[in-house]
Amino acid sequence: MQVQRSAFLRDAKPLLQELIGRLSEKYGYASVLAADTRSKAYRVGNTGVNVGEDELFTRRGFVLKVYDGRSYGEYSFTHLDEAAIPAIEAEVAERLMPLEGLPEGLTLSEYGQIPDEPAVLLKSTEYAVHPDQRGDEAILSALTAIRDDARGRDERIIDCTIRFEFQEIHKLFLSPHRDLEQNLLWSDGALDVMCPKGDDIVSYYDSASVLGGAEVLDTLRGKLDNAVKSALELIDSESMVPGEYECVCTPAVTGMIVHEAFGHGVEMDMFVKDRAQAKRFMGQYVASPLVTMHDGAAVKQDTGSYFFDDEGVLSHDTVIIEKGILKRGISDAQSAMHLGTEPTGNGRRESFERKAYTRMTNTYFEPGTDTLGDMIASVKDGFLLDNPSSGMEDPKNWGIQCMVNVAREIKNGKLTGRIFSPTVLTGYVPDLLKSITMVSKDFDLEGGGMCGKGWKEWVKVSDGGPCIKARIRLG
Amino acid sequence: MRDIILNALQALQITNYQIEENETESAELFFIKKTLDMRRMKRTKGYAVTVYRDFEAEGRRFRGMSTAQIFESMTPAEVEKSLQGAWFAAQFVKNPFFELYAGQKEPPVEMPSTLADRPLAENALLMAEALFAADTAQDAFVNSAEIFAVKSRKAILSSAGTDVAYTRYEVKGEFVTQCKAPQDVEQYFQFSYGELNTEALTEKTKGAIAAVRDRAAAQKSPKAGTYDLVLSGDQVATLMEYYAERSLAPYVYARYSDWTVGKPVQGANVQGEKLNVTLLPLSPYSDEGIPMVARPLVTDGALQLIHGANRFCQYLGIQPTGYYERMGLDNGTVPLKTLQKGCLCPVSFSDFQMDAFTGHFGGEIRLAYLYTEEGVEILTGGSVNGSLPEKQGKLIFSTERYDTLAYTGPFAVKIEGVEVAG
Repeated sequence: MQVQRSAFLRDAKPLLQELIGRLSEKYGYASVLAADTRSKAYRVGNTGVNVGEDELFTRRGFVLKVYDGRSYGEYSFTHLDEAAIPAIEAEVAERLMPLEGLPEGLTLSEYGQIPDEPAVLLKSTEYAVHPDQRGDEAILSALTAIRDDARGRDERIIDCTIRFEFQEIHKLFLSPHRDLEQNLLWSDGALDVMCPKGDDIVSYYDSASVLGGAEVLDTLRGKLDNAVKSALELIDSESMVPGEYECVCTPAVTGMIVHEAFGHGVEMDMFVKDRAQAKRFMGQYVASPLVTMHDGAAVKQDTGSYFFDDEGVLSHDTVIIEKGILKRGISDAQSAMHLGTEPTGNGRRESFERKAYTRMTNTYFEPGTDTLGDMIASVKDGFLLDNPSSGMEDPKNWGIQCMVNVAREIKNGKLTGRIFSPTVLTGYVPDLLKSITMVSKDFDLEGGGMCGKGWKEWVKVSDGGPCIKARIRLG
Repeated sequence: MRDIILNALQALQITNYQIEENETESAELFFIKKTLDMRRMKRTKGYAVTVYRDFEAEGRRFRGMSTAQIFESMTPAEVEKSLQGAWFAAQFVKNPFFELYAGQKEPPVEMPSTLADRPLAENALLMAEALFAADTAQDAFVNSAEIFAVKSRKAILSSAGTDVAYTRYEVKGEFVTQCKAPQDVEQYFQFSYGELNTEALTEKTKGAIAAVRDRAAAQKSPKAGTYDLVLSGDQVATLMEYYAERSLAPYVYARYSDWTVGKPVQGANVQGEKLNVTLLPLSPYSDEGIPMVARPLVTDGALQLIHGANRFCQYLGIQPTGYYERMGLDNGTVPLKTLQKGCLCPVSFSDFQMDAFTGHFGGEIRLAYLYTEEGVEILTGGSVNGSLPEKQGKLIFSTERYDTLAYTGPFAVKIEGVEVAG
């Protein structure tokens, strides 16, 4: 089934076209992104049951972008009707664009006009079971059944929180020459099994995602066995002895390295600010020849997928690293103008209320030819790293800061059963990527989480890849 | 819109509800070096309506709840459909019964702030002027900055009598400083003020530029090992969140935390300073309309309060307090310079984190100073991995103070014997 169009956007379109027409008479360029998004989140845990529309994902409003022949300004608003149009025009003309009182020593940027190439698009994604069709009762029953199953398996499990969420996205982008509309549906779910460890609580978190609907609940259910087993194992976890080790990373940890350690570093708004080391490494080896890395809303079907970005640029498949060589970065439209490059369809906003930045979409390493078994067998003294818990980018210095929840000890090619937690991955990104000697056939993409730019601007992304073997500094 | 919502609730015979009305205006400036790259304005309004549905099952009384987001642009029919959806969902939410917080009608509160004296755009430009006032050197400078001047109005109306509203101002943002030699490095900083605190921002930028200059000079990582650590600034605030989170009513109700009032949460054998922590309000009312006042959380190392939303506090049989966003710490006995002696003092991390479930804290060091008898060594790299429950008995705080929107208290804390990976 295809996601249906938004009646609200259909009704608002003539007014928005009128607004763009009027602003275009005064300014060199004017565009509007209209968003009508709806979500529902379901959560069951010891704190009770929660069902409701999530504020972050349930939004309706507009953002105007205007060019005055020199620079760009944006106005985000929620009120639109025939009578509001003159007031919106006045806000833009009198308060947004004049910019009086810029302090001495500060200047205004100078940009060219966005090339407003003609384009018309109307596309929708597919789903198997719409969450509305599955219904509140059935979704909560499914979540409760998984949770009860987990809690019934071992009395040491004090809770298994479980959630399911979906977002139906309708977006309309209008400029004098572009008329783009997309309708998307993603769903994801997560479970978190918790056990006491002395006065502390250890937990194992896993998630599942799909560009689709409630069918993801079946995938989530399939993750329960490993989550319960791992949470119980964590009760006996030990502290990591700092050092550099041979490590095999599961696809989830590979995804964290792809996304946090490298992906943020090729966001080209960081090139504009001279904040990314990658800018100076174009055409050079930054990884093992076994590594080919992609990003693109068009390349995979997951929570980072769409047909056009929040600046009206059609989605791409960008090959960032090809056989170890850094080929190109990803960019939003304004950064591309600044750098004289082509935008890659990565201009994304947290919502219509926020600025667009260069953001990742679906980001991953291509699979290789090895097997996980062979990779573990090849390690003399090291760890199988699993269950990433957090990561932070450092585009300027390519420093790694990623945390994993589970490091399984490997001695002489075999898992010993000892677990170390939590474990911090540190080091220099190219050192890690160049040390990759094995890449598995397995491939997994996961979009259960959110990505921030610094400490804000949350958007849905997916990341992943195969298992990789590398030398990594652990602490 | 408020009338449309009330009419829809009446039409659907929904008698228990809460309406939260949020209105925001902002002026936003985005700089790349000293060039204004983008300016933005925002004017938005939205409503979150929570409906409560009572039912009985298996001989027990339940109160289900569900929230609908309502937009300015919705027609009355759309509003009714949305609330009907929430009402339908609420019947499957089997939460034990609780009473809504019963407030009353109060006059709207205009929170006093110097930011209210002029338009938002002017506030943003004044903060830009303050930020760049310290950006005078050639070798180390502000790489980029984002400034947000925000006015927000919140109103809360419930079927239990609550009818309150307040208006709040803030200026917040982030900036990055850069130094190109001897190595090209950067440092990230955030700021948030409830007043037009231009002097504080200029001072912060000045310190940020000095810090990035030091980081550029740093060549070595700390040797792996155990150090006496001095954390400072925002890291102290993050560390102290452990006590605020572990004492949250939902954590206690869910058995994620076994903390009780009176418990010596700092441990039985405190050889350092005994903690004195107060929860401080950032707004006059919580999201449920509960009046927010300063409340002691930890006194002399012992817990004084379990705190949180109305529902969980009722389940625990305690007075609801609302969620707090600011913390005050009444500690500090040793001047910073004395505290730093013999210690590793990380002043910047890529992402300093504290896990309230485990008490583990840590992160990758971006800039640290190691104070030894021979002098001061500037270091970068390596990572901290410590456990607050294990180390909290020997905390010593600086007499110097630090104030942000979320924290007021000692600038620094000394923690003995923390593992650092080189």
